Amino acid sequence: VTGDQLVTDYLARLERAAQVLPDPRRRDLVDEVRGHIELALDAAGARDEVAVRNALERVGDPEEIVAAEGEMTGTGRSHATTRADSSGRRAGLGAVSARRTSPVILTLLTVAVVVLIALAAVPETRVPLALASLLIVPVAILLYIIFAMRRPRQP
Amino acid sequence: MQHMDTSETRQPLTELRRGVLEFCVLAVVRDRETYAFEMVRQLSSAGDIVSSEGTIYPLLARLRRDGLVTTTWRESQAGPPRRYYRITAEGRHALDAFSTAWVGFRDAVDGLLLSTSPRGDAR
Repeated sequence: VTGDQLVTDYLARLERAAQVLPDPRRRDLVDEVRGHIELALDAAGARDEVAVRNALERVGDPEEIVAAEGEMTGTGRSHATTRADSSGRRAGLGAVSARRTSPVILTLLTVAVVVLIALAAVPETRVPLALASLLIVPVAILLYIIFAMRRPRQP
Repeated sequence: MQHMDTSETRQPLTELRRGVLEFCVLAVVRDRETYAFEMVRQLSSAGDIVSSEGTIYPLLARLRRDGLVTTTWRESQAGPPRRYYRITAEGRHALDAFSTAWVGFRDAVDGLLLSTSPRGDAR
């Protein structure tokens, strides 16, 4: 295997991995990495197989570079974001927020139910038992939603 | 839990590096404009800061989009033109804020790591 062949193969692999990126950025990234490899080989003063393998190893896996691009654009700061990445991120955020808010909401609802049932038990108050039991429905729905959202997080 | 522990101890600095790299990049371009390859060389000579050199490009693209750096193409004596990166006022502000936070963070970690008594002395 010649050094140049290794570079060609590497760039083809990068190009393939970068398919998920939006077009102008994809071309830019491939050009940048190509230029980087050229400079690295110039600095090494050799283009033989060993020199190329060492240079490519320092540059890193094409998939890793593209993944870093996805991470950078997935933060919502930019226009460009790959579909798979953003949806995965959104699901993760949803699960996290559900996990954070659910104990609070659950506690409040539980307190509300207990208070209403207690009021209904006292004869002087006009709160019907039916109203109190109605509150059990949203609690059940909430519990269902929370468990449905948590499940996908388990691999 | 067990699984998480092993994967984290294998690469203890990966996450840390990821979080800190952008500020190291801003520090490198703080005083003079630099092109990416040169930047990577400076970061590498400073220490084990960049793991995969290629991942600097996604980072630089993001810094540019966020307005923390600006770029200019310049001719080079040898080879194709190079894209030079320069810090913006916003970038400088972000770097200053991080530098302040970092000192406190570093001292806190150092304090814990260095003051904790060696294994066995705790009980």
